[in-house]
Amino acid sequence: MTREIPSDIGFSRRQPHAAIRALFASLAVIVAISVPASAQQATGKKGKDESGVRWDNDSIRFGDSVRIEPKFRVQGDMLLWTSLEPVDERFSWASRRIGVNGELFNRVQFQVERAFTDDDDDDTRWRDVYADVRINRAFQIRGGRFKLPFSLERNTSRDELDFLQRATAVRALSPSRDTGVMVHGRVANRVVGYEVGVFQHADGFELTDDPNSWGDLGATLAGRVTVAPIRDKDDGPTRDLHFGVALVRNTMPEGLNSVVGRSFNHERFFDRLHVNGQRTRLGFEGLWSGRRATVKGELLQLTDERLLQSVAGEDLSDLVQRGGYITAVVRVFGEQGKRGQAVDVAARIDRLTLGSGNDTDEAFTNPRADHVAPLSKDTWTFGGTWQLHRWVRIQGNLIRENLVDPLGVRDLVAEPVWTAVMRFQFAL
Amino acid sequence: MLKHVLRRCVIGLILQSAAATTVQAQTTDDLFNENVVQTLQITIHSRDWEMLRSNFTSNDFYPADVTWNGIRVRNVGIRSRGLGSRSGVKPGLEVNFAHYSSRGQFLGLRALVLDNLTTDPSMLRERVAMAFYRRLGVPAPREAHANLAVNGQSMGVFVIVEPVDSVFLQRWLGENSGALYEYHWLTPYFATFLGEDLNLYPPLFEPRTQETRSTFDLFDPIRELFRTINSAPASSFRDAVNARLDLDATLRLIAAEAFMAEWDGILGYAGLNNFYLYRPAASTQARLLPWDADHTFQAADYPLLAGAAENVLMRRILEDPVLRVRYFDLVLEAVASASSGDWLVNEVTRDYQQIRDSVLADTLRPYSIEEFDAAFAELLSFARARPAFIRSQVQQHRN
Repeated sequence: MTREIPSDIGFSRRQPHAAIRALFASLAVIVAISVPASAQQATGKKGKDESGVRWDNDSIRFGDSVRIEPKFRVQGDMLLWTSLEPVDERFSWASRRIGVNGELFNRVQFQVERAFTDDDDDDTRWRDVYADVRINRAFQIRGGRFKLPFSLERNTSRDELDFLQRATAVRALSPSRDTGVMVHGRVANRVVGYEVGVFQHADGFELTDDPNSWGDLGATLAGRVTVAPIRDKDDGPTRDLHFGVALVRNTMPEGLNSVVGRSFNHERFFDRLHVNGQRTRLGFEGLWSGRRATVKGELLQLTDERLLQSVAGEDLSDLVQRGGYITAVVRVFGEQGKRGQAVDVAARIDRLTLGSGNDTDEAFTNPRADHVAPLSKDTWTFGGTWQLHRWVRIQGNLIRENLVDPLGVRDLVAEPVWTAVMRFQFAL
Repeated sequence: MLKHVLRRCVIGLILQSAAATTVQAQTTDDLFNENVVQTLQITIHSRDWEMLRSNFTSNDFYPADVTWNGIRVRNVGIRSRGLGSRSGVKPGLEVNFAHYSSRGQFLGLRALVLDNLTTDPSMLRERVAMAFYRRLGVPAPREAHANLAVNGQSMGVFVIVEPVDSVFLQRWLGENSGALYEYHWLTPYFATFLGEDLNLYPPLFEPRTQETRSTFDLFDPIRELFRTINSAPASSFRDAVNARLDLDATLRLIAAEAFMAEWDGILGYAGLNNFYLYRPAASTQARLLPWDADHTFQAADYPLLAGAAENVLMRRILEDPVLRVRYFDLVLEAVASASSGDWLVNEVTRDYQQIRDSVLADTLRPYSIEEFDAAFAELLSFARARPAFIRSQVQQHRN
């Protein structure tokens, strides 16, 4: 059995587990069977074959059957002001990525993306690398490396975020990309959506190489159900309304493997704690979009078992981390649903709280405390987004971060930290 | 039935009250009681203990519970400590009661040091030296020998050392609102003026209180102290330096070190070492406080003024006629104190007898029992011969 212990920065990778390889082989078979059939269907349906290679809507098309869209994105951040001590480096690259996505025979979608710099939401330079086979609307299969179906904001692309960073709770509590297989689709007249997947790693930890077992850690299981009861036109009072619930479950190996909260400038505001056992993530999400306004929010919870982790080798109470946010966005200029010029203003309140199942005994900050001293970070973010062109946009954020130590156990700086940042983005 | 319950309640209350009284009766005087070898037990997760021992050069803290005299203190932080004494076999430990909670304390202490005694075959020097400082009125840590067990496994004999921190300052000086610095030996440094750049001082003088104050607030007084020591005219040296450093207290400390043949202290063979500097909030007069005395009692004929010529502070003190007289008076005071009632001989003998059985049972000590006995014999010989030697040295240097 092999396990890889993560460093602070990232996790190394090994060859996929035999079972995962088997799942990928099955996916390949499905692709092989479905593509020729769908090619015939596509030709038959259209009746008119636009043959030849042409450039159409930012993508290269080979007849009607193949579409390839090159992707390129750079984001640069300029720190305008901070209430912290003066900093030397005011400019930083938030993201530099190149990739390609497309569609084959109206049946298989694919995406390959690679980053040229590390950013805060993943652990390797390969980002999305997957193929998605559409059997029908109710049943699609995706295989490869992609985001787990958990958290609305985590599954929103970085170049479409309302703010420079995702909410603190989303960054801390939602899993990032992983290698796996997922079935998904929409049923009940597209009102209900579902995503159910099995993934290779447990928060970055390799499964066993033992081909006869899934090992101590087992696979990561993830599922999400969304309900969209109303869907108006773009100028309707309810362009979009959906609610969702998601669950991710995996086993964590023994060690300092709890998740950590980070401030806007990536500083940890609490350290890792010892965990051992089941990790369960539960998320609720909701979104409403009207003519010019959008309101959305999430509540997330992550619990870690801490079996045999006390100083005397006994079980500790579960580690519990909760968080959430609510965001409001108003389009002050430009049309909804179009990629032309637009100006949005937005505000978000979010909170991430660290705690434990035991909240009655004396609280301590130590990594094996039964009652972990609670700590919260409240963040207010005010922002504006100016979409100059469908490829170019400028964002500005004013962020207020405040740590709250309700029991006064920690030596904290009581002053909130203010930061003003501007981002320039070019995304093809 | 009700009667039975009531009786149990009353008995329970009495027992609880008795237990509480026992616990409340414990003070730091009991912990540092020199008449017994203490027993300390540490409970720590086995993985953490393995990590601490395998990474003994690291200062990482690990959570643990500490039990002494029936009192269990939970959620303390422990880490490997020491310089030359660092060991993965028998780690010296810092036990920090406040590491995981700003309110953490034990008997009013914020921390304890468990000295593993691996650099001293006699295992006595540290404790005897600190007792002697205190006897002379020099603020110095209280110490007591202890048998330490970790997760039920004996780790041998240690010395419990009271750390020099805000609690120590309050107890000795009656206030702790000033700036305390721990001196770190980096290269041989003999109290010369390091220069104008304030960044030259933090590596040597690490703030242990008031850490968040500005570099200027913390280190300008230290820069000015060493500037004064080096550049004050001879005619005003005494007053100028005394305005920034309590000279009488400093001379008393150096006199005690000189009597004890401390070769790694203020007049150390490789420059200044093993002290804290404290600058009270309401005064510009800093105090030097001794630390880590396991290289004392070097040799009975160790010269009284060894290291004095190289050290700028001591050289200039001895050039000042008033301070020179005062220094030799304080040395003789130390001699008298050590000799009075054979204090030093008795102290060494008592401590040796007290810990010998524990030393015998200590399987992790790096020295044989023969080496331990021989080191004790040397110490005893020092205690007997040193007073006469120092008296002769004073006579020689005074004239």
